[in-house]
Amino acid sequence: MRCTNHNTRIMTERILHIASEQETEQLGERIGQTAKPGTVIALIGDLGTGKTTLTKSIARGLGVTETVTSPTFNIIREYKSGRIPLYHFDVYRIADPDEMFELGYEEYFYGDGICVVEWADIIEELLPEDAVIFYIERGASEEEREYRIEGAAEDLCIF
Amino acid sequence: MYILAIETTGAFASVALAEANEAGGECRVIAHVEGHDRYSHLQNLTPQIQQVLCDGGVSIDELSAIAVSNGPGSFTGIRIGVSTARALSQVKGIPCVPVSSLEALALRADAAENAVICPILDARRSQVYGGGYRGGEEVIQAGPYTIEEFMELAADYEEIYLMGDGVDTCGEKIGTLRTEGVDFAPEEIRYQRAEEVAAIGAKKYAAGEGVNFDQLEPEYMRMAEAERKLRAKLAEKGRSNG
Amino acid sequence: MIDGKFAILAIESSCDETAAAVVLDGRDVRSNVISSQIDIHKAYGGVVPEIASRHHLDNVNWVCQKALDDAGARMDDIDAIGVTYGPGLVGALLIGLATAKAYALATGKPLIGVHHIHGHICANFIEHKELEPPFMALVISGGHTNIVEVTDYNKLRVLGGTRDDAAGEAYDKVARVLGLGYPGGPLIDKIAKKGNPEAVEFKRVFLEKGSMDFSFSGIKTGVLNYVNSEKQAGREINVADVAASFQQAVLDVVVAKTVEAALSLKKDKIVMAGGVAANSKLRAMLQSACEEHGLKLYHPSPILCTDNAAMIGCAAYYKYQAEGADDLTLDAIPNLSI
Repeated sequence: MRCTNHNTRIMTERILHIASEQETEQLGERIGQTAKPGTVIALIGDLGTGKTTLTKSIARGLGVTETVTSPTFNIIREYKSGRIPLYHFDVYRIADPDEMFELGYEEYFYGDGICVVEWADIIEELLPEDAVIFYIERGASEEEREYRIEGAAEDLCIF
Repeated sequence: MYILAIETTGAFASVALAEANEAGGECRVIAHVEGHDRYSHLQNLTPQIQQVLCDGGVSIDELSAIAVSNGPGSFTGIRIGVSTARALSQVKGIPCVPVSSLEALALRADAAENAVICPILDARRSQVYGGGYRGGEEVIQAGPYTIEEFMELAADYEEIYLMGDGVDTCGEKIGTLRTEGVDFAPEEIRYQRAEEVAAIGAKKYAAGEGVNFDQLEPEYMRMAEAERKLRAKLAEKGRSNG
Repeated sequence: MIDGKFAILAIESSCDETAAAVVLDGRDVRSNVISSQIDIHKAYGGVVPEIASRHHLDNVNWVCQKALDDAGARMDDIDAIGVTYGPGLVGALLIGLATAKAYALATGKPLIGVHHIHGHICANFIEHKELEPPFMALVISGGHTNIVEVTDYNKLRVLGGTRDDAAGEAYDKVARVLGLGYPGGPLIDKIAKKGNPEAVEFKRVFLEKGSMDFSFSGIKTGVLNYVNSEKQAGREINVADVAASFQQAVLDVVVAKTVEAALSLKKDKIVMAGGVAANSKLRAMLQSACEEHGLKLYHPSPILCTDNAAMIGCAAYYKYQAEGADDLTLDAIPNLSI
């Protein structure tokens, strides 16, 4: 475990090697089962790295019964059927911070549920200080992924 | 004249119907409705307006103006109040009167004469929208502050009287910053409601400060630092949509 | 009433567009105002309209006023207020809904809440005056991919939807991978015409037998993997071929499922709706599949395929006839199901 100081945020960086889609799902479910209200999870990774797949697993861990679909067009999808509300963001189409403001992002990020934000690098400056950031890259084979996790990940009980 | 007042910046929506003389004085609330469901403004605001008109025996055509608390406070609440006020105003051709939620809340205070009345509304992250009022004057500029910043400004005053849901969220921290000369509004009068919005609205309307519906704007009191940084980054990248 | 017909002022603000329309007796559209379609330099009522998406609070009042003006109507002439109350972005929906409720209260006229997808389907009633239910509907856009059984004007049953990406969204993302720009749908449609749809074999994802659901994220990944592996092997990709092959793989599934749904539920008409309904290849494929099976195909004009309020006015009319008005306690429901 490597710790680096960066601005006001103490960043703990962890690397997770994921061998299969099944492992991604297990990871997501664990996160969903243990995450506390007010958690913001940022997912940063290119097309096809499995951001929505991970989010679906988090939803399953939360006990969400609705089908979780990609929020690319609607930007935010809300799921209230789980243990605590899940706010699934996809900011791919955001071009201006005003747009995020008009959407009331603060009420979500500093609210009572769990926020999962896909393409969060686009709005990184707006993320709360205690957001947990997942940088996702493809591994050697098609199913493999490498997750670099920064932020207060201890609460997520995934290690 | 009759004024309809709308207050949606807090957890509960409320509506009041007030009667005042032409100068905006002798303002008397003849009916009022408070919501009981937290953050259900969209559902309940219009039915509440309908009810208050019915209770007061006044038809919507008899209204002279719509006073609305346009912020600061709950982002979504402000937008619901402002949209509703604009739409009513647009159809009936009567002006809107924007009223500061902080100023209106300050009117509810039951404080010592010398005290500076400090409404503070929760803005998350230990921040507040706050202001200081004494003798009808604004002595601490209304704006967004960290609670430490606000208490520092308030330190200039011997007696302060705190009210608003900022008391609930920052009460503990306030206790560590100052214990002398601090009074807190009891729960029954701690939060925003439409009656004080009506009182200020009537006065402002009589003074000619009503505006056309398309000039009624929300007053979010944005803390824009994070967004400024983001805008600078996006401008650099020259990013286009998609 | 306008010209002896029941007049609805309809408002739509479920996602990007702020739109309003005046519609008479459900099918006679007197005005159709969409915020992004207005010249940004045309000041209106002292307010300069914002072209940017989702500035609903700034837009809703002047958009409604323009809808009335374009129709030569006043609020007094309006018999009911229709409004989308879901599904969509809650922060966007609430502006239209708060406005509609206040209009309803101020005029004393009934409020009618409309489901956005019902609206899309009803766009066809506007386009085709002779069209009547029952029929099978395919609603396909950036945000939705649904097969909907329509047994009456106000009787809809969703048979299937996407389990991950919407079709339109898959188009946008593949367009980005191919360096084509945004929005991807029309660009892929255009360039695919020059390509060979059999050049690359992308997996057609039908899901389990009998399912009317869709899944497009696999095809998106398939294109991505193909492009990456070609790049790694140092080979240039033929963008037109990839676009055509991708489109063929998507549409083979869409057309097959839609036709299967129509046949198994004994509908002799298929109705398209939503932004992707403007796709020329989809229309051509559905048209020929319909001809093969003796079915009739309907689709709206391009402007009625996108989000607009005229379709909401139409749906509102039929909903009002069947169910009457909604209460003023109507709430916005971002996950509203049919």
